[in-house]
Amino acid sequence: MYNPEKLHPVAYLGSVVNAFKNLWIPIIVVLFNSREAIFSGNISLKYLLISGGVVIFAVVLFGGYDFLNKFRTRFWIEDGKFIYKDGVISNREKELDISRIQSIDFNEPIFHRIFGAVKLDIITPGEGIKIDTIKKSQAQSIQSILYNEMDQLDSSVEIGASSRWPREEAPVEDQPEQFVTLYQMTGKALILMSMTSGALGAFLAIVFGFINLIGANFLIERYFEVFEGLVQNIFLALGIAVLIFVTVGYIMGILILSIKYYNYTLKMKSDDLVVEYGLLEKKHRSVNVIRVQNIIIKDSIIRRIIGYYSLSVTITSDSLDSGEIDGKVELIPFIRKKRLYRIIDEIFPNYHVELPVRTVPFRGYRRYFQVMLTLVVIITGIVQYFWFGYAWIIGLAVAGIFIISGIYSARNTGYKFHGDEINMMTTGFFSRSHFVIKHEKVIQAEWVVNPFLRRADLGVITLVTAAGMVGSSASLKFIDKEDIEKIWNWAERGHSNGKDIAESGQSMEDQ
Amino acid sequence: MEKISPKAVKVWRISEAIVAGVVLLLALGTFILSLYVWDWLPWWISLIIFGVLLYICIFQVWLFPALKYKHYRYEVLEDEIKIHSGIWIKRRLSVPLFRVQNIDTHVGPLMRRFGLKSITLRTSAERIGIPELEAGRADGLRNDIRALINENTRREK
Repeated sequence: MYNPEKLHPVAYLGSVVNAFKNLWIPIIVVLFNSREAIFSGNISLKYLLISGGVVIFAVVLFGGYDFLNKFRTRFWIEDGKFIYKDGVISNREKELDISRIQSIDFNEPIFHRIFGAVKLDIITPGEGIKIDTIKKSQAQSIQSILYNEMDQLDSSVEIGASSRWPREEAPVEDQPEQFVTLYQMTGKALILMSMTSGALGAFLAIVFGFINLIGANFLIERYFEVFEGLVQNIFLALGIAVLIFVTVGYIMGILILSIKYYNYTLKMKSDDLVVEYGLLEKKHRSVNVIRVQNIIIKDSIIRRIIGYYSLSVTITSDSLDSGEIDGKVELIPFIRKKRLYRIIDEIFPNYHVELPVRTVPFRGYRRYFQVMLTLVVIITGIVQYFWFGYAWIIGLAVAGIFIISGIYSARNTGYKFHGDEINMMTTGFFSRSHFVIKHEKVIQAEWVVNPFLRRADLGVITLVTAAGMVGSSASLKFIDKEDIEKIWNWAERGHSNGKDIAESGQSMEDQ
Repeated sequence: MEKISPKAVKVWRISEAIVAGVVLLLALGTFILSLYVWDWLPWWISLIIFGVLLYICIFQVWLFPALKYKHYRYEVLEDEIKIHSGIWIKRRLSVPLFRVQNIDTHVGPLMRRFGLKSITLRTSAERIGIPELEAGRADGLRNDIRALINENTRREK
């Protein structure tokens, strides 16, 4: 690793594939426009040669650059830095300070797995490096070398990036530590998780959208013929057809999620956590515990009933994929509460996780659902008037769901201080997120009121911690002014400052 | 708590007035086009644009700048920056200084004529802007904040 190394040979194949991927729209356009010539059966040799030549030329042009770039790519470790070099016309050299690296991940998509290659992602709080297609052994040795170098470096960490770390004061053994498996998901938990996933709803929506797209009318009509024979009622037939679609979609969703999260394992080595999962595409993510900005424990009402929760943490970096723009890394997607707390104690001994106390006063309850309720009433009214006479039944049901969801949210929102950290319970649609934030990680506090809220002595407070590009924000809605002031003071400097608050309070009154 | 420069109202009004002027041209253009050139363009489209123009003139040009100025306050303390803003929805912001990574100043052509400058603070998650300060004040503030940050950094190290 200390000498310049090259990419996995299969990367070149990847660049050809990429070229076709980039060109598929033009290729389809060309094919579509020459469909008559193709289907007429007598394609002239000249035509074939020219169009084939153009396509090959484009592929060579697009792929060739990539190809050369990959050919010239080198990476190595030197003097406490990880160096990555590429470029065809202009040379590009990137250096990452090893002490600033916060995680080293590799993923194995199916294509890569066939050839024993991986994608490597090195993430720092600022820029990062992505290396597509290197040998798995290379990736592993990079990972272990970087981790070892990080261990050897001084424990001096830059300001704001670290919280005090009790474990450092404990005597450190010299022999290199081994990975300890903290959590491994059992098959039963995997299936349960897939069955209760909120993503299933989204999946169903996609499936239905797709069915609509390919014009499954004819499919449904087919089914109707079958069902109409069985039940002489169009509504019943429709119901059964929908039921079958939903069930099939649900089972498919469970399968997909089970494959995605297959063999989920959380491992730990000194300060680094490593998550691995996946049956076809293997994902591998690692997180440096010191860089963790906050802890989030999430649940939905269904999962809460059966007693399972998920654990995420946020880290910060400029170079995350678009899907991870919020810097959130899921550590454990599905685990029993008791075990979760034990694991948190083990991983984050400096955090104190405690269930927040409910704080929303009764006069705040209606604010959790009034906007949605108004919308539902208006939409129902319009639909009722113009199109469908029984819309009010659906409207009533939807309104009821929103009211119950609002009350559920209001009853669960809360906060609790513990020394220099705050536990905040924020809520969404039948779901809760429990944030644990250290005082020094707060980068912004925001307090919002409008005249109605001011009259009711309520307000909305949001604490933002660094994460990805947008930050991770936790907001408590419609809680009492006094509670907000407590959180505000805590966020400002960890202790209250009477004079300042009186002053700013006055200026609020003035306005 | 401090207020921003009173000239800000004028700057905001002028820049909104420019927008209003563009909208006016657009409205007139559509009106003329619908009358004389394109038959398919209904005449009331220009009416809608005139409505938008009216809204811009009353709210954006006349009301909002003054109110925005009246309700905007900021304060730079030893370890944090506080900003109060919002006409209808009040917003209070507090950012610890040691999380600020970058301070930029910005001058637009209009702002230059009035001797104004705005400051943008960048933390690792968000940007916080203090608009339309007197140029000298903006530079002073930037230097102050920079000094404060450097001092904090040194102390921590």
